[in-house]
Amino acid sequence: MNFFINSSYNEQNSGIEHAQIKRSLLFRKNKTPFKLLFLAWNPLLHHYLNQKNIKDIEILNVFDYFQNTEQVVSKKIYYSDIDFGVSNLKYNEEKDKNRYIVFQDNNIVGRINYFPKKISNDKQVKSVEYFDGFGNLYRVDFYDLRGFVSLVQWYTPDNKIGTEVWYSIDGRPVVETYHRKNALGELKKSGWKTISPNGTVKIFDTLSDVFLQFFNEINDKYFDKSEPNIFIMDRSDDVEEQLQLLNQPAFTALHLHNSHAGDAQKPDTSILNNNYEYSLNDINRYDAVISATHKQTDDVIKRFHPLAKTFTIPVGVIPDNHFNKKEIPMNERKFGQILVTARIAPEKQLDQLIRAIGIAKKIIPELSLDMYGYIDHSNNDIAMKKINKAIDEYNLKDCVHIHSYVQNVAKVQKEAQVYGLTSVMEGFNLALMEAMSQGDIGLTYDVNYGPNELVKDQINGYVVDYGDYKTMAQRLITIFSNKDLMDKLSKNAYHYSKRYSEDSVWQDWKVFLDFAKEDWINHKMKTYKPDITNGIQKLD
Amino acid sequence: MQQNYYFTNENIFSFNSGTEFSAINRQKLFKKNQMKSWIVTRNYNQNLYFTAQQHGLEYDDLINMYDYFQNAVDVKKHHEYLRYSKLIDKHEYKIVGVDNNSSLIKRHGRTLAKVEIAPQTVGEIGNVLYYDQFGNITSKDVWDVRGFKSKTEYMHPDGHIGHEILYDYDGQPVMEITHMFKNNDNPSMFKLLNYKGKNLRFNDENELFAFFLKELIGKDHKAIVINDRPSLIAPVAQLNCKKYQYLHSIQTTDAEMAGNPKGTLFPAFAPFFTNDFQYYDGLIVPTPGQAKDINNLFPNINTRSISDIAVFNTKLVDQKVDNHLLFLGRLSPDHNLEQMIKIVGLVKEEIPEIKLNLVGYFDNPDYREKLKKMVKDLALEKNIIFKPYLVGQAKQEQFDNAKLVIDTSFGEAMGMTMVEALSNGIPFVSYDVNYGPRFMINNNYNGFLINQGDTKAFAECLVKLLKDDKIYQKLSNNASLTSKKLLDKLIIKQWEKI
Repeated sequence: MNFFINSSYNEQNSGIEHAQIKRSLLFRKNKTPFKLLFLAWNPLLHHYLNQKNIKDIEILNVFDYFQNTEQVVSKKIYYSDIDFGVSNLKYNEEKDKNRYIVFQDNNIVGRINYFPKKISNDKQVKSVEYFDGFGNLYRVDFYDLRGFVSLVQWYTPDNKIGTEVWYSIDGRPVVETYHRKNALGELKKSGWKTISPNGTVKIFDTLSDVFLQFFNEINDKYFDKSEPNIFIMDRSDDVEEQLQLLNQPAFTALHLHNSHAGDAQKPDTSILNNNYEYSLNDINRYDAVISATHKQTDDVIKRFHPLAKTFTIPVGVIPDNHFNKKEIPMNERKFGQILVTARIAPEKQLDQLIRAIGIAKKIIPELSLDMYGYIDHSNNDIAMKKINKAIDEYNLKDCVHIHSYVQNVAKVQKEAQVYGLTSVMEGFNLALMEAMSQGDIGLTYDVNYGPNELVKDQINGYVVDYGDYKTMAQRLITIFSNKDLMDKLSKNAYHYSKRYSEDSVWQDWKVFLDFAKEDWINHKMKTYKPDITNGIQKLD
Repeated sequence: MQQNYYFTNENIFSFNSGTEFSAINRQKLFKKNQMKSWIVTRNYNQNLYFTAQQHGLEYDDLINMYDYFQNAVDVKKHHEYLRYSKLIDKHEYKIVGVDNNSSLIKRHGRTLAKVEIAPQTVGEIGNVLYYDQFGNITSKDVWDVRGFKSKTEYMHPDGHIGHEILYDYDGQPVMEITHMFKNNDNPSMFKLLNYKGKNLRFNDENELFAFFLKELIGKDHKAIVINDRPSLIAPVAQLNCKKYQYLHSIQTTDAEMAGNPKGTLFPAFAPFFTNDFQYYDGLIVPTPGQAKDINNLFPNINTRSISDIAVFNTKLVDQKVDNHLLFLGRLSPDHNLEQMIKIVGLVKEEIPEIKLNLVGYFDNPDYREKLKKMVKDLALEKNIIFKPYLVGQAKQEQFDNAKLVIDTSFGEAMGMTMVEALSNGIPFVSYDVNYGPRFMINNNYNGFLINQGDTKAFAECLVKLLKDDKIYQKLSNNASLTSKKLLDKLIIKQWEKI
């Protein structure tokens, strides 16, 4: 089995999750089994993933695993389904708070909170707070949207969470955690326990240890002497330590989704990206490391000389049917239209893109920019402040448009002529790949990793030195002054996106999977010694 | 018509008081006479199966409330050996034996859990206490001695019990109990889960017990309930069937005032006499004397007497050990054991080799220290031997060896030890007090009754009896004869009449 490991999946996600979904669809198409593996408890996990066309059988959450709820028949739980064990109840709805307060006579029996409209129109039960006959809140149940009690928080007499218990679909406790005061008198999680269906109890200090137990159990469950279990760490936190400690062999891989170096401009020397620091120090304790670009693979080899096998596999995949669509020539697009779809955040430095446009606009007055992306308000709104300053400086109010969200991203990509990028660094940049697959000419700083590989200088766009927005302005002038050049660059943008076609990316995965299998059969299984099973039961 | 008899009680323990012994004795009596009866207990007891065996009962002589809701009434004994249990994954955990009573579960040098071995078993799981990294107990699995996980108790952060989940035999939760009163382990809620398709919440254990009794007995038209415990008067009262309260003690705080309208009623019984009697078909006490007093004082209550112990056989043992005294019972201040020690001290002046076996359990450690100190101070360590609570053959051996059985209690409704002494042909000496001693003992016939508190006379009487074999033989024969008025075939006739 192939496991793609992450922490969670929510309404809004980052590039890593998008990459995982694309990979999943590719594996499914090639009839190669996989599971998206999530570590965080999330009552809406299946809801959000189902919306992205991921099936329940392709989802493996740690808690689902212990709860035996990987695949359940969904049902809707309404307030009237909640059985307080008390009769003659009165329900007062508080619509503004999405809840019912439940009374018997004048005594509170419970509060039923339901999922908000954007999740469910049916007021499906989200959580239930239970009070005893003496008015004590003693327990709160949290429901999975699929219609079962997932997590129960048991309260203390002084209204703190004492014990948390996850229950199986049929109501048995399966995972437990306890709160106790530490040496500083702070109430903290002090231990964990799991209870298997056949009654085996395991005790752990930390949730990380529970995860190790989980990895061991699924590694055993899917163990196959003819094919390895492959664990791909798309996010390595709470995985990187555990995967080194498995009881049985497995094939493990670190997938770099970002620069391994803290300063992507100095990949050979700068301090390591904190997210990868532990797993890179231990890189030879895994079997492979995957980068999305050849450039990053080369840099990893150059810096670490790893014995773990290196692979380059793009994280972007362009669906087959895209290549059947008609190409839109440059003269059918809006002249001077520049696009960027990215979080409006400090590290994107979009004010520099605006400055480049400001300079070039003096020569090409038709230039205009549309930006789509959620605004990151961190650091006292520094990103927007810089953008506004640049707009004012170059008097671009009328030709720079900022939109928070775009319904149909392909449409705006087809209308634009140039896609601009001024980021500090990137992990790959799916947005740039997609824009260029729609014929947008790429224009970017020379930054690792992705932009300087997606854009081939003077072929499907231009790569300028990092931070040199003045040269970027010159390139804009070059592009928009020469219609033939524009056509050529755009055609090449279309052409080179075939590097990311399903077939092309699958071939890269195939190389990886074949290696893993070869290694499994010729090496790992050659020295494999399973645990004994005979002679240890009660025999007399 | 053949009736179904239910004897409601709190619990059957390994260590019982006379009340439980009486219920066990009655159960055996009914069974011997092919009458259908059960001891119905309210309290949770993981060792009930073992306890039943210990007392010579079958498990189906008992119906426990929790067992009933756990669907485990019919579960048979299975040996769940720790070393072979699926509970522990021995690939990862080490089982480290401490002694016969406990083992530790260790990993990488840290103790993760402690397993307490079930009593009277070799290595079977009793309780499992789980620890966190600071050594706090986080939770505790309680195993039924029949070999299944019966419940889990979860502790609050302060170490008090927080909530309990009770399981059926297959491990499905069927009940939850919460403890939300601060610094107090009493439960604040009992909830049945999915009982006949519904959850049901109760505010205390007796509310649940009342519901249980209705489920168990409510539709039994042949039911007669004998309630042996004053604490259960209220829940039993809610039943519609025929029901009696059995009073195993003297109703007043001062036994001498029991027949006097100025006597103070024991607080636990007071509500019955003033109000709850109206829900019952009557009150049963062990002796006619007590019945007479209550009838005089409370003519509205239908009170009758039926002995709370039936004698199944009597015997005369020839080979008594000389100068061996026996007291057997709860070692509590009720029996004024300080006076008994003093009496032995006085006897010792005449009979230096005098020996008293004090057999039973102390219900409080202070009293134990007090008595032990007294024995030491009076230099009676060789004369007074404390022995633990005994049942079955070990207990019989005490009677087999005893020359005299004595008690210094100021009142006994009947007196289990007295009846056992008589049926073993052992004369009985006690104070002249209500009700059992006065009912069963005639001076210089089958024992002696001494003026209450007169330790000197008590000692003189013992010396006389121990020294004069002729009187002893007469008293011994009569003791055996007297006990025949409590023979099972007579007692069952009285029960058949209710």
